[in-house]
Amino acid sequence: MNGKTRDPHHDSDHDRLVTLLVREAAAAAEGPASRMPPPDTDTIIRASCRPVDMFRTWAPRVAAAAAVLAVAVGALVIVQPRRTTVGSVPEHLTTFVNSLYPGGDYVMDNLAPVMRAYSNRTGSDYMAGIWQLVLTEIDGR
Amino acid sequence: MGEPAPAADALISPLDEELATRYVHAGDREALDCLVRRYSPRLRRLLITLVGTDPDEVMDAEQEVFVALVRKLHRYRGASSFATFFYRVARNRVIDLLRSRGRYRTRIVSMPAAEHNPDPAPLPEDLLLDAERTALLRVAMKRLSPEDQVLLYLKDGEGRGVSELGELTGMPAGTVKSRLARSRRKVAYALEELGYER
Repeated sequence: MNGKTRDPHHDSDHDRLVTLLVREAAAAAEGPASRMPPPDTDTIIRASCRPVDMFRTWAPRVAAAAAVLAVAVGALVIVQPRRTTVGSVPEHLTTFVNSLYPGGDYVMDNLAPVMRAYSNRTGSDYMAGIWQLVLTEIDGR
Repeated sequence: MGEPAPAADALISPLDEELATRYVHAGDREALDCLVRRYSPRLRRLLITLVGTDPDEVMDAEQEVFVALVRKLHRYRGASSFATFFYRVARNRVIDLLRSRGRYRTRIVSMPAAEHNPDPAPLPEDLLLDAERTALLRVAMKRLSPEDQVLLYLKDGEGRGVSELGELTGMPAGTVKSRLARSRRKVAYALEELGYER
């Protein structure tokens, strides 16, 4: 408990102390309990015949769900996830690779033939998708 | 604790189960009244120990529990003792109350003698000590979940058996025992942190 080393003797002291205190508290509650007026059975019967107040049962749950939904929608409105306006990933890739080899279109001249040769090889769907995007981008140039 | 022993009680008055049946099947108001009066002291002790000492609050909570009990009374088939049935309903309602009133891990509870009474008459020293100890215990018990508060109270405050607690919570007896032990340790450490001195 909170990194404290447990001592079985200490624990059993604790058990006894807490048991004693709870027992004493229950006994001490008898005085105040007996000074209160007795419960009114007629009121209890009348109240039990009333329909269950929906505002105390499912309404709070609906309200909580609506609040969570509102927060989620609010977060989406603030974050506004959308496609980047600065260009697609393949465009960045080709620009970046070309920038490493100034003086020519390195992607078109050197990488494209290699990538085409490998395009039919099996791999993960994700990588195949990326591969296809790059090739489409290159072909479109 | 205050109530006559069940065996002696049975000699002079109808059993709880019989009273419940009379109310459910014949609408016997007197039978329900008898049940309510029989169970009110133990419910009040539970509420005063866990919820607070404000009489209005205790009586409102008590009424809520009894209303819930009356609504569920037709489901009582006698598979368990009526006391177990009563404690199951009371436990659920008190857990709801403890949750809904935001008392779990939130408030520092004021000393009962000062509650709702700006100019209290001086209490005898031992009563004051009792009240302070109960208030401190109540604060320490807030470290527990509402479920564990009620479980610990029913075991140590009302002396209910582990198997009965298992029956009314749906937990195996071993789980009840380990939860009780863990709860007692938590409360004891909380009391130490609060400066409780024996």
